Parts: sequence; structure tokens; C-alpha cells
Amino acid sequence: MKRLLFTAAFFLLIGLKICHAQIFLRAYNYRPTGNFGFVFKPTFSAELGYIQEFEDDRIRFGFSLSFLKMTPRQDAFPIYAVQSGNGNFVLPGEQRFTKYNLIQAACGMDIAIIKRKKFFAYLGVDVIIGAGAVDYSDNIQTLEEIEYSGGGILGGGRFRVGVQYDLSDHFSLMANANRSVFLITEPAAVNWANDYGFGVIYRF
Amino acid sequence: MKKILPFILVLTLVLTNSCRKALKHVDDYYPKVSSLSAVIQSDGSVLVTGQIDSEGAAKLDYAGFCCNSTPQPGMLDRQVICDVSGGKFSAVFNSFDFDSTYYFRSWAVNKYGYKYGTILSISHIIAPAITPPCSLTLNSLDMGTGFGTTTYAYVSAVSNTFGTWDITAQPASGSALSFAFGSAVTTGMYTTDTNPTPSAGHVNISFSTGFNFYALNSGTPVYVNKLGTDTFDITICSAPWQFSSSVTCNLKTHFRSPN
Repeated sequence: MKRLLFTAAFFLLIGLKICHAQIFLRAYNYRPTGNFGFVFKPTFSAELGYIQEFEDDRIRFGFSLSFLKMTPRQDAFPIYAVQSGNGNFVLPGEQRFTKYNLIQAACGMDIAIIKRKKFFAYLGVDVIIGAGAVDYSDNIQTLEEIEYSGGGILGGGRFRVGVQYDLSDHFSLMANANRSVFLITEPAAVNWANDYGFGVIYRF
Repeated sequence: MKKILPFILVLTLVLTNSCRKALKHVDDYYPKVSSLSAVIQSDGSVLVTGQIDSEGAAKLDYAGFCCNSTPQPGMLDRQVICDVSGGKFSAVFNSFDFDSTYYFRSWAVNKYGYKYGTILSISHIIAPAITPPCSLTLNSLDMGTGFGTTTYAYVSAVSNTFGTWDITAQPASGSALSFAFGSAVTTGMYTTDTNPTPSAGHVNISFSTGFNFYALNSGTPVYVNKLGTDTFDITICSAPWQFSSSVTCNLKTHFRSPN
């Protein structure tokens, strides 16, 4: 996890040096969907990143870091397993998540579909890599008791629509919506989510 | 614009074809199930009926009942998995302790997990009293041999040994009758059986005269009413038994166990 943070910070500094740099801070509402949304509540978080300007080209590149602390929707999820043999038996159990924290680094590009002097509307795509710190337990009566505490790596993608308005030479406002999907290794899952956020861009 | 077009296409597909929005209430993912009724049947069993009120956010995988003498039966307690038809399902439970209260709870599962239904309870489960089609004097025995009616000097309580529930009835004169029930004795109609280890719902009734052993022929009804925890009223209106290859006698008796 530390290595990831240092690497991201390193690229951020490089980026600030070599380009017409913009850093942004974006607050957003992260809303898990599908099975991910069944297990975890929506949450708020912030994303800090570097992003290029739309200059002559319609395309710009950027990367960002974000941390998500997910909260389960129930203390215990009633799960079950089916044991076959001399007839079927439905074995009740429960699953608990005591920690599900994610750090995500996103790296990608935006394409301006509307480009005015101060206003931009764009579509974007990112590759996401990161890690999760997860504590959970599965307990199914007469069958299994699992307790896991550790980390898992994650990888996925993110798709975006957004707008940006330049307030001054140094400041811009941005608003965007993302749809993301990532595969996490433990517990193995494909997680989908939407997020909606507003941000400020500072231009050096 | 040509460069952007594939990008827009992929984005549109992802935004419109991926997982659905999370449901507002987490309980809406699970099935909703109710326990409708628990009815004592004529044989002393209990028929429980449940209903699927909602399958939840996925198709129903299993539904059933559990039962225990503790107030919160768990899914594994005497679990019965049922077929669901028209949103309803039912199960039959047997073998109850007369002194206990039994609790029946429905349950249902889909891919998200399981939910229990409401709990129904019944105390002192006993089948409705059964009325024999004859009226015999209590504590009487007529072996049908022409020697008239006698009384019982002693009737044992029911004892469970080696898979049969046994009663010994000793008449004031003559040899003892041995009753071997194939299942726990409760209110209901049993059927005589020459097999000394009868199946559930059957009873083997044997006795000896001299050096000869006899058993009541198979197929005759034996009427049993449970009067209390371990007290029974037993009537046999007319049960044939073979005294010899050419002589058939008819036993008639009415007694209580223990006595």
C-alpha cells in the first residue's frame, strides 16, 4: 500500500514539472451497485489527482488517488449452503464484514466532445489498480468457519462523463459521473459502482 | 469525431448494460415468507402451511419449515424442504411429546440469503379422540373361546424396547396379552399385524395358551385414545385369531394402560 502511494506521489510531482499542470480535488458520492450495492452502503470520499489541460488537442491525460472506507448494510448477512447426500439440507450461516477499505489509483484520459473557451464537456476512461484491506468471516452451521483478515489486489476500469468550467486562469470547477468496475481478489468479486462528484482544479 | 465514436459506443454500453442500482431496503433482496397455519391431523401429525409473500430480488431457491420445542427453532431443527406451488407450501411433522409446546417456523432462501417467517406454536399435540364402533365394558376381555368375559388384573404402562412400544395386559385368569406397537403410541387407529416387529401404525398382539403361541390376525383395527401423558384407552371390537386351522375365535377387549 505504501509503495503504491509513493509511486503515485512520484508521478504527480513529475507531472507538475513537465506539463501545464493542473491538480484537482474532487469530492464524490460513491454508490455501489449490483451485488456490491447489496452488501455495502453508499459512501462519500475524495479524490486527489493530476490532470492535463485541454489545450490544442481534445484529449488530455491524468491520474488520481482515492480512498474508500466501505460500510456493510447489515452487521451479519444471512447466507446458506446446500449439502447434498441423503437428500438436500439447507445449512444456514452468516457472513460479516468488519473492514472493507479500498485504495484506488486511476490513470486514464478524457476526450472533450464540447470545447469552448471556458467550458468543456468530456467523456473519459481510466484504468484502476489498487488494493483492499478486508476483514470478513463466513460461518455456515456444520459446514465451515472462515475468518479472513488481510489484503487483496484490485484492478478494473472506470468510465466517465463530465463538465468543466474555467473560473479564472488558476481555478476551474468540474462535475462528473463515473461508472466503475473492478475485480478484487479477496473475497473474489467483481464490483460495480457509480460515483457522482464535484471538484476544483487548480492550475499552476 | 471518428476517433470519438467508438469511445462513445463503449461508454454507452457500459453505462446502460451493467449492474442494477442497489435496492433501497436491504430486506427487499430476501424472500418474504409467512407461516399460515399449523393443524393437528387425525393421526396426531401436524400439517403446517406457509406462503411466499415475495421472492425478493432473485428467484426462490428453497422453502420449508423447521420445528422444535424451543421458542426460536433454527433452520436445521427437523428441517423439511417443501415444493412451492402457487406461492404456498406445506409439510407434515410427526412424533411429539404430549407435555411439550412445539414451534413451527417457515423459511425461504434465494441467492442473497435466507429469511424466516412467523412462528406458530401448538401445545399438548394429540390427535382428536377416536370413537370405536362398539361399546365394550371397560377392563374387560373376551378371548372368543366360549369361556365368557374376564377382567384384567394388571396392565403395564407403555415401554419402548428395541424399536417397539410394548404393553403387557395380564387377565385375572389366563395368559397375558403382549401388545407391540410399531410406533410411539398415541391417539389413532392401529392395525393388527402378525409380524412381531410391526411397522409404524401397526400392532402385534400375541398370547399363549398352554404351549401354543398365538397372534391376532393381520388387518383388524385397534382403537387407541391418549388420555394423558402416558395413559391410554384401548379398544378392540372384534379381532379374529386362529385357535386351530379350522377354528377362528374373535377377541374383544377394552382396557386402560396402565391399570
